[in-house]
Amino acid sequence: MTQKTKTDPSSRFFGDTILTTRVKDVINWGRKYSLWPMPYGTACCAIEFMGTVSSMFDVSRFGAEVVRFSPRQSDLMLVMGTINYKQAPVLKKIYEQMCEPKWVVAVGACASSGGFYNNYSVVQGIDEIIPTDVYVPGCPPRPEQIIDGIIKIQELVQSGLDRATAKQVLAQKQQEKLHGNSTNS
Amino acid sequence: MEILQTLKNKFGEDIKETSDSFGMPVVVCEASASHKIISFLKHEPGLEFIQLLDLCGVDFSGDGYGLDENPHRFEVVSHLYSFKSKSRIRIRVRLNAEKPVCDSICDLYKCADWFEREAYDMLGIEFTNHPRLTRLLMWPEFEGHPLRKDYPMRKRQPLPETQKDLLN
Repeated sequence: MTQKTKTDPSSRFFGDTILTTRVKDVINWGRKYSLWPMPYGTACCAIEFMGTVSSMFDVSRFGAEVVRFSPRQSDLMLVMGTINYKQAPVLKKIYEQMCEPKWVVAVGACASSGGFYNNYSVVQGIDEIIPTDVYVPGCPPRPEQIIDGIIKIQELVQSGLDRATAKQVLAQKQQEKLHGNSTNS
Repeated sequence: MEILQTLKNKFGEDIKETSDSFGMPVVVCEASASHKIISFLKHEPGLEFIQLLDLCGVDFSGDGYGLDENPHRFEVVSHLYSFKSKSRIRIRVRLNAEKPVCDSICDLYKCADWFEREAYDMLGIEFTNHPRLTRLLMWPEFEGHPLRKDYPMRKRQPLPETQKDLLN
């Protein structure tokens, strides 16, 4: 967050008592450590979320423990479980009721892709209905994975990027991670 | 089985087959005769099958036949219970494979309402004289009948636009 360097002229007078930064960085820093999740739980993934919130894993270490059951008071939607076609309008409506800025995590195989419910009644991933930022794999995912998903959201919030750009940046990062950075070699 | 003989004597040619399934009498009949047979079973003194335990549709295509080759592809299977004799009976109604139509038994058993709507929803079996034959489980925009054996497994459906129907 801070942009402080040794060449910063203000440090000559004030020592390390002053930080310089940008307003949007401070706002994003505040946002990422005060996410208010709204659990949209329809299946066993929601049970894993209970474990994530409880003392063993304790999502409050990441500032996201204020679970709200009203979309109007939350900015992070966790879709946990199978979403079928008849539920799709409900999910969409609840997403629309959330105030901007808002983020969505698809927790588990069903919310991400329909999972093994490849049939006539199940939506094949919630991204068919609402924009989705992070997909957490697993059936159900362990609490560590859900926390990892929330950390990914925090990175996204801190970056201040919109979904489309963030997707490109993340994909590039992933490529570098897998194949090594060509500029370094 | 005494009851099967009674039905044969009463309805003659309308009874296509009878059998014994693990001690339960089974009657097979055509759609045209189903209502009067079930009505008889309910109202005849001594029989009094006053409870409808279950009603469901069945798609038999592929059961020893190719798809669409079974002349008795669809059946409606009802199970009745008599408190008089403390016994059950199964009635299998054979339907036209091209256009499965069956008489509704809602006038005899009120609980048949949703069972018949489910059979209509899942298999496309039409029930004449049903008070409100609309889809029970699927939404109004749904195309086709998902439990038919020839329903494409990977077919995707249009998203439901509204849930207004639930409020009616």
